[in-house]
Amino acid sequence: MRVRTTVHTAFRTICRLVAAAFWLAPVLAFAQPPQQDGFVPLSELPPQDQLPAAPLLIAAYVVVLVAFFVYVGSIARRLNGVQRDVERLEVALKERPRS
Amino acid sequence: MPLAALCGAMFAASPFLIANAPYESTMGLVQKVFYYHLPSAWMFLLAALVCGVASARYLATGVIRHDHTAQAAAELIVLFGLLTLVSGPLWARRAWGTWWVWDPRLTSSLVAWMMSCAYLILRRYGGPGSERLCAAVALFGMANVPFIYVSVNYWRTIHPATSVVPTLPVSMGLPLWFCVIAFLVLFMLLMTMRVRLEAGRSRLDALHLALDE
Repeated sequence: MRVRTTVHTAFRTICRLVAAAFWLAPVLAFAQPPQQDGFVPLSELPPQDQLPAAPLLIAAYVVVLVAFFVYVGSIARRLNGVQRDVERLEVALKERPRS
Repeated sequence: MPLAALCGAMFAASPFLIANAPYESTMGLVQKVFYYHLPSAWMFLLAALVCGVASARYLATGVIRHDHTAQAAAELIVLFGLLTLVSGPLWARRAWGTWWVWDPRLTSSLVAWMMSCAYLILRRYGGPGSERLCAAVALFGMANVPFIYVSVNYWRTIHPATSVVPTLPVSMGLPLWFCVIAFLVLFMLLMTMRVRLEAGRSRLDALHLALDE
């Protein structure tokens, strides 16, 4: 009986937390960012706030090229599989005794 | 094969042209993502148009060849859309200070990409008759294309407008158009391979039926 009460309490707590998360998520998502005093060009940002551009640039090019290689490889593999099956079935069709 | 050789040569040459292009004054090095991002985005829209037109022709005529073209193009929408949606945020993180904003261009592109994913899932698991339903989905996807293209001109967004490309200096325009042609050749190559795959699958189905009879 006591175990059941504990489980029930835990379940209710989890439900409350989930409900709170659902309520909080849009509030946080649509919250206005803190107001900025003025426009600061990227080049004038302090070094700790500056993002290095090279890793982002390299990542973009690597993603594109890797995706192309993977996709071309995938099509070639599927084409070979289909071609092999077609040849196998054509042979089976020729060798089948005619009724 | 000549198309594959041309495509390989163009993609091998493109980094040299991009490296020699001048830096954009405000964004610096990261702006060079543009030379692959923009052609990817254009091929994404082109694939959506091809898929929509082929689907419309399939619905009108019932010719299976058009369905093969639509299916091939749908896969290319997913590929080029993914590249656009990944390379864009990598550029935006440095240029805008954020990975993503829910502006009309980005949101409508994401919707078009998700529609093409829905097309492929429906095609894979929809069972018999799903090709006509998929064709209808592709028509909705195509209707989204003009909206994606003009959205940056009609709404004030953080994304650059379509007027940027015609005003580029030659030193930046040349590598860009070279990359656009390279991507177009790749698009044609992938379409050819993918349509051939669908034709092979049709032949395989016909052989299975012939063997069962």
